[in-house]
Amino acid sequence: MNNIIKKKSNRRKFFTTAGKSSLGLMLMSFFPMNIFSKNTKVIKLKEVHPHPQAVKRDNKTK
Amino acid sequence: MKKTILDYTLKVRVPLTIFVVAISFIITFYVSREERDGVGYQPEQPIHYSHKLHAGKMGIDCQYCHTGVTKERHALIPSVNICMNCHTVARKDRPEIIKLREYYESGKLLPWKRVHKVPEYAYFNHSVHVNKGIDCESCHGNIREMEVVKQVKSFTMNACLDCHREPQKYLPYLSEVKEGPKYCAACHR
Amino acid sequence: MSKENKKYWKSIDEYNKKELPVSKSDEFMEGTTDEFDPSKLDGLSRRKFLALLSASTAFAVTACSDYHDQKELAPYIKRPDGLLPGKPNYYASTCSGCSQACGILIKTREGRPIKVDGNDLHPINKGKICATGQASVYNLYDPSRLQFPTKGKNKVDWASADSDIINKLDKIVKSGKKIAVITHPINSPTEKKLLDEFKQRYSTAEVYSYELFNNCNKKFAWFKSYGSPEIPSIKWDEADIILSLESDFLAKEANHVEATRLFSSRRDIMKSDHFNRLYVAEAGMSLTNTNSDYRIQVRPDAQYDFVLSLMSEVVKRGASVINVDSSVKKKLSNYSLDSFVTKWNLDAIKVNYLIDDLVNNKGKAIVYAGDVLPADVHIAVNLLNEILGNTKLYDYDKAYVNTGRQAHLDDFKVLINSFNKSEFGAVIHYDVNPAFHIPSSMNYADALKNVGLVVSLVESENESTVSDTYTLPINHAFESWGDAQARKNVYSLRQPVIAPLYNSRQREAILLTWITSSSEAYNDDMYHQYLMESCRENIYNKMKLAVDFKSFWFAALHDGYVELNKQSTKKHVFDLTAFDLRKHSSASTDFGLLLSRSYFIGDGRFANNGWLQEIPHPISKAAWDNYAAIAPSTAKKMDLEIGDVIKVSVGDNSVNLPVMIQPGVLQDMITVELGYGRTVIGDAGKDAGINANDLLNQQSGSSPWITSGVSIEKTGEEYELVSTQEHHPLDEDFVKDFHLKRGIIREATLTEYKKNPEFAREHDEELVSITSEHKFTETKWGMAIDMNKCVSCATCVASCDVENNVPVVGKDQVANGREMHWIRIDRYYSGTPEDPIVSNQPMLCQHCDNAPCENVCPVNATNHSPDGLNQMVYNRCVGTRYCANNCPYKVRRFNFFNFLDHFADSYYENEVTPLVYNPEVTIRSRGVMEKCSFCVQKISEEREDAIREGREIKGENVVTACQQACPADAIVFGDVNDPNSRVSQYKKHNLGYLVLQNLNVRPNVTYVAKLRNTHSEDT
Repeated sequence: MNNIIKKKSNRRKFFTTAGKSSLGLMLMSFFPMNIFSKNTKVIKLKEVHPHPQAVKRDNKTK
Repeated sequence: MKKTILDYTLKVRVPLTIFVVAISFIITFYVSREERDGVGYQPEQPIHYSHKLHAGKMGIDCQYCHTGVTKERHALIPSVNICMNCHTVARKDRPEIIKLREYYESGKLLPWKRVHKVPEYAYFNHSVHVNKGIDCESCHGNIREMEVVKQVKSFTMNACLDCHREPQKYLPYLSEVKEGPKYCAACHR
Repeated sequence: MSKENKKYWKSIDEYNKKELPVSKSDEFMEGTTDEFDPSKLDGLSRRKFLALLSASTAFAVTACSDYHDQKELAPYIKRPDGLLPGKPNYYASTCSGCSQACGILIKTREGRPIKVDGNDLHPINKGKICATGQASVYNLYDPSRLQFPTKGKNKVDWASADSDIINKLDKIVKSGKKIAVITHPINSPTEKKLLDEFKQRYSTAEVYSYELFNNCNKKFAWFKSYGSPEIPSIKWDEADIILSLESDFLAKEANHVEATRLFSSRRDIMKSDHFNRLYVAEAGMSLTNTNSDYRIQVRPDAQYDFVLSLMSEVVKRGASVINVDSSVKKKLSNYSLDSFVTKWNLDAIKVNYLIDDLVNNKGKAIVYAGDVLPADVHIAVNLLNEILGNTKLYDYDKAYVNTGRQAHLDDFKVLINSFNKSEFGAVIHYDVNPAFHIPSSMNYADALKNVGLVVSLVESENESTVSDTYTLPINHAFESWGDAQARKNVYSLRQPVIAPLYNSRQREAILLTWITSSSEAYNDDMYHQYLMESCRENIYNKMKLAVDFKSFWFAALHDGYVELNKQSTKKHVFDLTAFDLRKHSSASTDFGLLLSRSYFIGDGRFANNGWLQEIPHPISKAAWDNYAAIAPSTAKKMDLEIGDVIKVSVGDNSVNLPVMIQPGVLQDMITVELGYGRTVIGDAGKDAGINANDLLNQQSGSSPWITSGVSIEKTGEEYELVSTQEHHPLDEDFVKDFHLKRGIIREATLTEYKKNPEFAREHDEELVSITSEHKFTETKWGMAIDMNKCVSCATCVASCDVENNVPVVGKDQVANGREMHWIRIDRYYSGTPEDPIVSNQPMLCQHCDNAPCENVCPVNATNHSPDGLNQMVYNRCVGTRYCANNCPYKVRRFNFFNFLDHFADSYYENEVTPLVYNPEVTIRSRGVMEKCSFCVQKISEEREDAIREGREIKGENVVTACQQACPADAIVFGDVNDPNSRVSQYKKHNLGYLVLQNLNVRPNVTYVAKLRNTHSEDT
């Protein structure tokens, strides 16, 4: 890591590399993030209530 | 031959790295085994319900609250109206009971932190186990002594299969018990 | 220089054949890499940086989240009584998919309906419903359902909408203008009463009931013949000979669920002497036709001549059981069966068999005319049945209740005229879509602009709601109270099983509010009370029961229906004056058009139901579209291929339709299905098919679905039709009859079977395994499918889809062969393209004992259970697809996409559609293989019940989804290790065979060879 910090030109190159890579990563991660986010996203489902007046058939187990 | 960086990398760096990674991985893997399987997970619950008090000291049966355990797949966490069976009068001035009361009257959902969970692609059926005579403590540990519920047994497939393969070893109190199903479709539908 | 010797050279050196420069053999020239000095590279390259970055991110991410977290679990605050989360509840109700009002049993989990099956107690459909009924559960969770009332584009509340409408309606009545209430045929006695009260309250109100496909021709004919439009049901199970004229009675007409059950009961191999014989005389290739023993091709406009020719032959042979009037005899003398056969080039032997059978089976046969045929054909058929004494098979006890006079295109012409003359002040669309059903050339939508108040009471937007003043959302059938009386002997009840999902109201309750003249009068229980009162008056009081009304009511809701006392039926005497003695014009020979309803999406109301759109057409196997089906000879003559677009013109109206070459269609005939081409509809139904309603025959007096003298014209355009099965060219030698050669379909005639009972198995090979056989000692699950009973209605496909959360993939993926049906109906042709024999076979995972798929899975995601099931472990599957490659039956389906959000706007990903999933079946993600599991969730349920009750597992308690749905009881599932089980009987039977038996995969599904009941050994 010393070679990065000591020399000025290396420091500069480090930051430009960091910048370019982050930009690239942001762009490239858009698609995989798209896929993966949908998997973990919890869909809020509509609350459903059974109708109170419905008459049901007897179940096998009480 | 010229000593290139590649040479150095291959001869020294690569084996060293591999060694370090492998050792740390192996040690961490085995040491953390229990924790990774969920053993020891003891989350804080929204209401400080104590099984030690209710199931232990007062001796309320597990099935009074967990009603589904002999009827169907899920053991069912008691709906709040079961709690209110007693707590409309019992200790109704205590802060935790007041919290409970609020949930009951407002209709807001009471979000208990789930402790024991089998992954969603595996279908675990409580009634099949309980109806064969298996005690709750065989898998859930000594809940009666727990202030806060803690997972004591590993819930990995391997742990389940251990008992399925040698039920007599894990369930000594049952006089006759067959081996449990060891084929995939029993749990992985 | 010759062509072969022509050489190419790049430089003078090469031309002079000097030594190839050394650089040509090396990849890079000497010295290219000389200046490259790795030590001069930067210390940190982009590569290294990324590696560092990703490693640190990974560590950070894993460290930051709690991998222990199992999320939350929230119980009910007050658990509803009778609801146990995890256990299903069943409610009896009535289906509203069509007007037949079959009884259904709705299975709910945690309060939401997830599966619909037939009501096992119901006397008419006896536990079965059709594919449309099975998939109708999805419509409850349709994301395109309206959620609140709107005025134009603005949301309004019910109170203001109601008071405004009541106000306006009163004003309209006062001004003398009329109110039109447009409905579908009302089969509910209470609703009829309600509409009468509405008409009393608003004195200028008129009710117009219509249906795109109706049986009005038949009703009119019955009215003329017998003085009452009450059509009897047919005792199909008592018919030895059936002649079906242009009638798809097994799939499209009347109560085809009942007809299938009764018909298939006479194709029972355990009673093979008792087979019925089906003759089908029609112009197209319908599902009933594929089950026929003899096919006769007759144009719809020649059916009248056909019936009269048959009649004249019967009378000539002196076989009439009644006294035939001399005037009738005089008319019949103009007709002769022989000349009819010659004129239309029919097979004389077949027709001879037909007439012999009809004459020899008097009183045990039935001639049945389809709803599309004009009334005079029905009257003639009635007379023919009278002459043959076949009226014994008419069941008036279970007769179809008349839903009253319906509006036809003529009536709509008058109505639209009145709209344009501003005679109507209001139009109420009562759960209908006339703008779609009425041909666009009649300009219904434009006429609506001249009506001041247009109110639609609908579940979702449709073509008629675009011109609405008010659009009011109504409850789905599962959220509604109601009753229905489709048949004379049964009064069915409908109860809500779920509280309304949205701010909608029951359509009857909306009318009731308007009748009581105050928007405050509405309450949620309004129609419930009204219904109870009406039931008490019309049903309970007339039955003189010992119990009180409340007990009766609850018992009726529990059962789902009330069986009514047999009413004395007066004797039906044929009125001879109905029979038209005038000379009939003979049929034309130019292009004829036949319109019929879609097999699954009804008249278009289910067009947004992806499951139904994706179930392929039973004959052509096309999905998501309609088309113009033409004969191969016509296609050759006009040089048309599948997908070419033709312009079909009926009078001044024309529609562009893609062509489907359908073997078996009569030449110079076109058959088209209606109900497609909806424009104002949810995402699934958009761009599905073409609206061909303009092809309805608007000439008064004729049947709207039959036109002769249409013209077709090539447009040169192409349209992609997708099919789940390739279109095998019949005349290609390689594939011709391969299904017979390889023993996939084994068929014979009854005579051949009697001579050679082992024909189904005689070509089976002796099989030797190199591995030792697996022993199945306990329960072993197996299935048998009886091809004699199976009519290929595809109800099993729909039921499996709903039960197992099978995704809908859409037209573009079906084109790639990626449809996900776990069970499919394969359709094979044999014979010639002009006169094919169609064989069908439901194909599902065979759960082979020696499964080729299990051996090749690299991760062992599929293996065999000790009870005979081929298991599929979804979480282990990595998506190699080697198993699908190996499967000889090609029944494994791969999830190429995460089909749950494949549609561009995440079709399944909203707050209601996921509610339809069956929680007992895993939802498969992308990259996972799936296939039929023999409903392993039901097997597990039975095991659970057995352990709870302390008994052994009983094979017959497990009813797979396909078995439960099959109206013909063709699918049998159970324990093959139990010698007494039904499935063992089929397995042992000499007609039971295994498909591709010679591969030694040892499948567990036994197919029963189909026997056609012909006179000889030739099929």
